[in-house]
Amino acid sequence: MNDLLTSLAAGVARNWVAVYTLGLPPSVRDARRAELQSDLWEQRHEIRSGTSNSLAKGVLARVLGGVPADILWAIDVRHDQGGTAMRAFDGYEKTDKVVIFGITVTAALLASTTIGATALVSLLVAAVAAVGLAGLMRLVFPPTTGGRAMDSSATSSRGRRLLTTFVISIAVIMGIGAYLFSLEHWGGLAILLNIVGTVALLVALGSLSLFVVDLIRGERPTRS
Amino acid sequence: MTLDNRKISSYSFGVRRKPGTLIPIEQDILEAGLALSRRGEPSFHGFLIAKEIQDDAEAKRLTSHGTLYKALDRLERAGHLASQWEDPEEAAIQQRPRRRLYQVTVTGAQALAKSHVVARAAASGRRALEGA
Repeated sequence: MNDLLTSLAAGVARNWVAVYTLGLPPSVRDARRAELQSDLWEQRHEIRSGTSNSLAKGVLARVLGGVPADILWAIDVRHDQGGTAMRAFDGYEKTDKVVIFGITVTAALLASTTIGATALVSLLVAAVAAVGLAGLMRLVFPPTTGGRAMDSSATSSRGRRLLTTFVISIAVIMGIGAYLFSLEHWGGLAILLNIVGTVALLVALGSLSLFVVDLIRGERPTRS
Repeated sequence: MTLDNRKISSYSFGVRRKPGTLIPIEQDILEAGLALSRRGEPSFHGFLIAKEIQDDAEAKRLTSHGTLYKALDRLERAGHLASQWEDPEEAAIQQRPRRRLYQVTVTGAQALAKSHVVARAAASGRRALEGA
């Protein structure tokens, strides 16, 4: 069980480094991932590491404590590469950026509050969730040139709306279900369901924001 | 030597420092690196330096990954540290991931010495003010 906890903690660290190094130059990205992998190995095999339980806590504390620095470092690297921190959103319209940021931050705040985190942790979770979700949106719904996805064709627009609606439906059902189940004091499973529900709700809210943007664009008189 | 949030640049957004000066986490890294060097370990990897800082400060926890590697990256770009990846064969023999090995450069040692001088001057200035 303790080994499982340590493996889970190491998995969190590896996944986090994989997330914040996404989109960085391959040499920088691979170096940071390899360095973190080495660090995790060293910590795990350190003679005076104590129990696996404390090791898992130690690894998690190091990951969480370094989240702000990781994000700022990744921004710095992107900036040094000739981009800007906002480059990932260059393809979006101004209103899209506001909607995505606003909704994701609000959703993350609400979600972290349901987990019972402190205000500082809530803010950290909100920031990470906002960046992560915005990146996810970019992958799932890549903006077209000029930011006019609706102009490409009526068929793709219809498909996008259907997909968005589907994701919203599934995510909301999962989120509400997870929340209801968590009220039954299911121990560890309740926490897992809460996390699943939180992620589902975040995706649902993000998808909803894009859906609304699409609807607004579809009513513009300039649309062909 | 203790490490608290105020020593972590990422938590001090309002702090703007002069070029060439060192923040506490950078001083800690350079001091620990030089201490290891004096003990016959001229190069160090990330976890080793985190342990050295923890032991020196008698801290409960290791420096977080983000804070540590961001500072190492900054120090290397400033020329205070030099790094190289170890021979893959050596890592393979020991059945572990490759280590990135850092060394404190002459520039780094000089920067640390300079920061100590500045810190002493500031301390004596404070004492003089308190005594006045």
